[in-house]
This record gives sequence, C-alpha cells and structure tokens, in this order.
Amino acid sequence: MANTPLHQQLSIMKQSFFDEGLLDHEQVSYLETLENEDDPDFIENLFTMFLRDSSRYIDSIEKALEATPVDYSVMERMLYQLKGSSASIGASKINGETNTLRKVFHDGDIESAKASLQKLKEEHANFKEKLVIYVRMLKEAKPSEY
Amino acid sequence: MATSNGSSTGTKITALVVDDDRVINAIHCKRLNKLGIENHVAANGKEAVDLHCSGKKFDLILMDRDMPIMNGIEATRELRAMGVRSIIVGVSTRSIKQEIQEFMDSGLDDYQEKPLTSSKVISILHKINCNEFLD
Repeated sequence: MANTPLHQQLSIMKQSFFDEGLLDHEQVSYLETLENEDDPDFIENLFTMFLRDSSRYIDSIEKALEATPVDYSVMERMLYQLKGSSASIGASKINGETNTLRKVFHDGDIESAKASLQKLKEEHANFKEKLVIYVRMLKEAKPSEY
Repeated sequence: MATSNGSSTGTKITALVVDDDRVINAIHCKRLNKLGIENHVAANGKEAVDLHCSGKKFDLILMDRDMPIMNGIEATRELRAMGVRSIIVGVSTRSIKQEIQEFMDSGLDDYQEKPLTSSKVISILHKINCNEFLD
C-alpha cells in the first residue's frame, strides 16, 4: 500500500474521524473488510449514498415537525431510517443526536424536539463537510489504471 | 459484476434483503455476496411478497421491520401464510422486548439488531446450513 503524502493525509483524516467520535472505528473496519478489488469504490459510494439519503431524511423530519399538526408517522419512520442508516456506516454522532431527538419527540415536547433537530442538523452539516473532503481524497488516492 | 469462486456443483444459497434504506441494502448485500450468497433486494414488504407470488424462492430473507406500504411484520405474516418456509431473520433497530416479541411472533426464525456484523451473519448462516442438512 503506497505511503504517499496523500495516503498519510487520508490516515490522519480517518483517525481524526475516530478521535472526534464522528465515525465508529469498529463499524468502519467492518465496512473495509467488504471492499475488494472487484468493487474498490464500495466505501466511497456508501458514504456518498449516506450523505444524500441522510440529508433527505433530515429534510423530511424538519417538514414533519413544522407541520400543523405534527406529522407523527413521517417523523417515526424518518427517525428510524436515520437511526439505522447512521448506525450501519458508523456515523456515531449523527446516530446519537437522532436517538436524542427520538427520545425528546416521544416525550411529547415539540419545542425541545425542534431544538434537538437543530443540533442534529449542525452535526450533520459538520460531518458532511468533512466526509465530502475525505471521499474526494479517497478517489484521488486510487491508483489510476487507465 | 464479478462473482466469487464459482460453484458449478450444488446450488448457491440465495438471499432476499428487504429494507427501504439503500445504504443498509448495499451493506447487507455486500456482506452476503462475499460469502458466496446470491442476493436480491426488495424495498418494502409488498415487493418481497410480490417476488414470492411470482414464484421466486430464497433460502434466507433478511427482513427490516419499519418499511412503507407493507412493513416487516405484515410481510412476514403474509409470507408464512403463503407457505414460505425460508429462514426469515428480522433485522431492526428496535430493542424493546415487546416490539421484538411482536416481530418474532409474526413468524421469524431469528431476530438481529442493526447493524448486522460479521458474527451475526455467520450465526444466521449456521441456521441455514443446519436446515440444509435436516432436509
């Protein structure tokens, strides 16, 4: 495995994800075992897919919470979607904030739920910003065989 | 798409992954694929039932609980009512005993909490292998 400056940067960035609690080390290691020569872009594609889908889920959650009356069934479904999805790629902070939002929402306090949603959106924006860079670097680091 | 070590003798294990989240589907399929299992995907319970109505059979079904149109509980009941004897494993984020029991009662052989890890998948496969030998 090449040890170019780019690869070193990737290692450092990946480690910082773990250190900051943004990604779960164990889950990411598991995902890496699924990648192979037949599908070397598996992880990049997965992360990209997650970023896109999670943005949609959060938008739906926001709309459901702003609706009068609050759209409970959409909230439930979207919260479970986001919980499962974030857990499966190891996005710990997003998973954590989603669980917090779920709890607050189930407690019936809509105003607190809205505040919790804002926190989730911040975490998501932060995660997305960093992950987009990471994915770009992953692509650049791939040896071009063409 | 490249396949794993081709098995010309004997049948490959087939699996149906039922989940409305495509990130989860991608991960489950990849995991099963690497173990030499042939995968299909359904985005909700109704699609899973329709596949069976059209005559498809699977050794293993990974069934998510919360899905639109037809959820995992309804789909499992429907499949069992249709006489489907595949191993159906419920996969969900729910961890409350009552909710798990409700899902199990619909006809599951096993229940695993998301995310599916290697060891969970292997324990599921052991169930299939045991079944194969008993048949």
